[in-house]
Amino acid sequence: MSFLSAEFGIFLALGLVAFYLSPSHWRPSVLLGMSYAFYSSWSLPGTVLLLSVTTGVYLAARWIEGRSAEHSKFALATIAVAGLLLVLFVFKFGVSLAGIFSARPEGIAPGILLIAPLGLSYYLFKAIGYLLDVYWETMPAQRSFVSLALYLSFFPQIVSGPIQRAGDFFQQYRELDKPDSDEFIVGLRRILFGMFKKVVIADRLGLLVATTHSHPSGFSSLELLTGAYCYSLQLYADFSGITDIAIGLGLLFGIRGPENFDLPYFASNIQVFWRRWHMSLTSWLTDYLFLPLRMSLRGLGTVGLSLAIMINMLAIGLWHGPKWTYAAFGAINGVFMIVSALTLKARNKFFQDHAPLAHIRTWAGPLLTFHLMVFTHIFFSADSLRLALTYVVSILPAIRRTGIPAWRLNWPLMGISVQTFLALCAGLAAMEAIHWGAKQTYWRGRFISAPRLLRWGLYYASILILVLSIKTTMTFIYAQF
Amino acid sequence: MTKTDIQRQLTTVFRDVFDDPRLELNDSTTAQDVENWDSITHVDLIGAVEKSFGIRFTVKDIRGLTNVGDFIRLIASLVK
Amino acid sequence: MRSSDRRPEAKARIVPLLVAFFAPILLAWVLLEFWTAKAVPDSYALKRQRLEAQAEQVETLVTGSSRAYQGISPKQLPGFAFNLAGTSQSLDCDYRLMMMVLPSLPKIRRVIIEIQDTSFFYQIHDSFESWRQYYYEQEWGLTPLKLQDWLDVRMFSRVALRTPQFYRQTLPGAIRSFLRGTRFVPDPSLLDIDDRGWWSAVGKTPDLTPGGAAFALARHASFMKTAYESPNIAYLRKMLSALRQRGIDATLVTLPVSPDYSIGMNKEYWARTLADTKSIAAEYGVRYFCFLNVPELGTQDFFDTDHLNRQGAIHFTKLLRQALEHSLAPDESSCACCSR
Repeated sequence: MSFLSAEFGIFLALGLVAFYLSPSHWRPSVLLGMSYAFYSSWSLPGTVLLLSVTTGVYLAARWIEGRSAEHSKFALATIAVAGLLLVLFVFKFGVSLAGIFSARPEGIAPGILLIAPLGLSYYLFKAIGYLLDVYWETMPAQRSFVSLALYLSFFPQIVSGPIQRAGDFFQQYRELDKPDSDEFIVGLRRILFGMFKKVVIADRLGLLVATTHSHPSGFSSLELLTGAYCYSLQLYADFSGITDIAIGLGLLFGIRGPENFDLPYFASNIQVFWRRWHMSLTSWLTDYLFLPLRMSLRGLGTVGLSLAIMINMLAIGLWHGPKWTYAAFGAINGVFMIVSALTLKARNKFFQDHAPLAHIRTWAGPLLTFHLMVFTHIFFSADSLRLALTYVVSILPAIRRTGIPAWRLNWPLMGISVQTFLALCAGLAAMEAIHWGAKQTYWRGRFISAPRLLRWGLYYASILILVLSIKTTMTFIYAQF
Repeated sequence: MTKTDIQRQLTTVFRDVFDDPRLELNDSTTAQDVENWDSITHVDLIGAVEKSFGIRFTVKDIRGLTNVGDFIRLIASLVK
Repeated sequence: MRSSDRRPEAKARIVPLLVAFFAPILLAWVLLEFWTAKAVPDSYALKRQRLEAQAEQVETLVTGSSRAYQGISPKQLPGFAFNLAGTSQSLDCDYRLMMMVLPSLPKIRRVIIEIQDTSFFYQIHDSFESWRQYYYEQEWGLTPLKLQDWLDVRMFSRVALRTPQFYRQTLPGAIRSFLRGTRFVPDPSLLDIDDRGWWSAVGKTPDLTPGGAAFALARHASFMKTAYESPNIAYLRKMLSALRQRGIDATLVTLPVSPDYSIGMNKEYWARTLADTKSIAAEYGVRYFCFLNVPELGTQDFFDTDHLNRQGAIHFTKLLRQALEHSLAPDESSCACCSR
């Protein structure tokens, strides 16, 4: 079931009724039942895998806690984490290896094993984080199997995250019997906003992106540049949209998930960017990969730092899948990060010494960072390294060889009308304004205290635009990971 | 070493790592309160503290830290 | 104050709020359903209405997929004929539809069943036009074969079956017609369905290039599966036994395709289909006319590489009539039936 399908709407409505009508001590089990029903609507063998992983993690955590000797704790933790990483590796990278060895005749549907299970990266990372937290004694092992099973399978978060930390989840789990009606309404608003971002903004941008990226040689430099900008914006709208839906759905049941985005394209440098983009993943990698790695490499000074950063960024890239383009994405970001980290002190000193230039820094920083990310996204979105490089080269006017003028902007050719494009720009500006305003207590207060008719009018208008904009095939970019 | 001694020595290390001669610490200071304290400078800080106090941290030690107060207690437990 | 103390009144407050908010949306949806059912016809509703209106007279029935739907003109057939074929209509649909309408056709004497290169290898619910099965369910009551397809809002919702894109395109036109007081035609192509159920297309520039044929072949190959071979043959057998029992004459027909399509067809699958069809025809004592390659038909007769246009259909149906009346099978020696 896709989040944007009528079946899911019915499933959700029924589930909500069941959840709120049940006595409070049954609620976790109702949610667990919903999560497994949701997951099995995708695949039954995948559900078996999820259940097996959950059981293994449950037992491993109890055993690790039970051991008193440090070396046996360490051994158990290592085996468990290695086992989980092996499962991840087999399903993510094994798919491409299997593709090399099989010659599939037409008309035969691939077996389940060749498709990475839904949400695998997400729930395995949750599991690894949980095990490591237990090993490092920052939280106790869960006694209740239901609570752990719900944590790993929680249906709002299993499709595309966010990756919630075990401690945060279990704390809210303990308060599932005390739902908050205000949270419920916030959840509904969040879902509407997320759907709007995805269906109205991201999918429309996607039209332009698809045409420009499919054959770059047919477009001018300016058109390709526009295509690249739109991809970065589409990725943002799409992914923050589904995060909103995921968080909103969780709120309907009293579970608040972690945020994934914090106005990332306004970040002043690339280090700040990566603290504001896909935050639940990057903070997970920081806590469970980067920091331990950096700790063990701290004797190696700058080299150690660079190595830790590069490994971390490569992990971010390859987490998305076994493609050279993802590795390139990670590596390029790694280079940017290393340069930024090593020169930060020098840059700060420079602007301290040249105070008048500090004004420039406030707007030049985010602008430059945005362009750096647009560049890396070209690799992220390409089907192959060659295509990515072709795209990059085709943007540069000096290297063009076709007869297309560099500054042409042929909107119909790009698959979109000027009016739609301008409407999209307005939509994006409004989206960011809402993102910013939602963080300010003042604007939140102004919105809540506005007359109900006005607010409801806004919701109805959004729903109308949303429904009329839906196209029948819908996929989330981040659900394939 | 007393807690006050540790805090004084720690403040010197912080001021050096974060290049801020007027930085002040108290028990409830966290990473949000200090500019440029992120995951990268965090480990620089750890290394500097280790050198200054002549101690060595493990990853498990670091994980449990939420604020400077925890940090001071950890250092106190490791300094003989 | 613990939040659980607030809970009873908080819950009581929120439920009427939610009902008040969603009620207008539900109302709008229900109104749209009624409007769609009344004012927005589709080809399935049209065919059913026209068949029911003329049921007393129907002597010849045609079943099959889009090739028959477009390629057989009922007025050129012997007897009072009706074209019950449909786009992507697979053998399982043919069988169930035929069994459903036969009792209401007192004068029925012959049924023409189309067999083509894809017939044995696909079923409508497992193709990229699987949404059409819900039209059959809504108009004819043909419930989906796969259990999980039952769990779909399109089982009862016409609005969901139409898609938001459709409403985006048609609602402005409908509102304009309403304001002007004129009749609203949502889908002009519906006007090309004649009163005998035949859809004839004219005025399109056909893509009869090898590229066009390759595109059609690739699309067909994407939903052809050998797993459906035995079930579909079983459906064909059931159709033929049912017709034999009722003393109704059955004829199997393969419709013409363009030369490029014929060349590109999967030889192995076509050989199997051909052999199976011939042996079943012999077994049940029915005639099989294979018009795969018809030299008399030229580029001016085709709608695209595997469908006939209006004049091509009329031309072809005349040939079919001759074959039916004089029992003349197409000349096999001139490769009427082989995939070149």
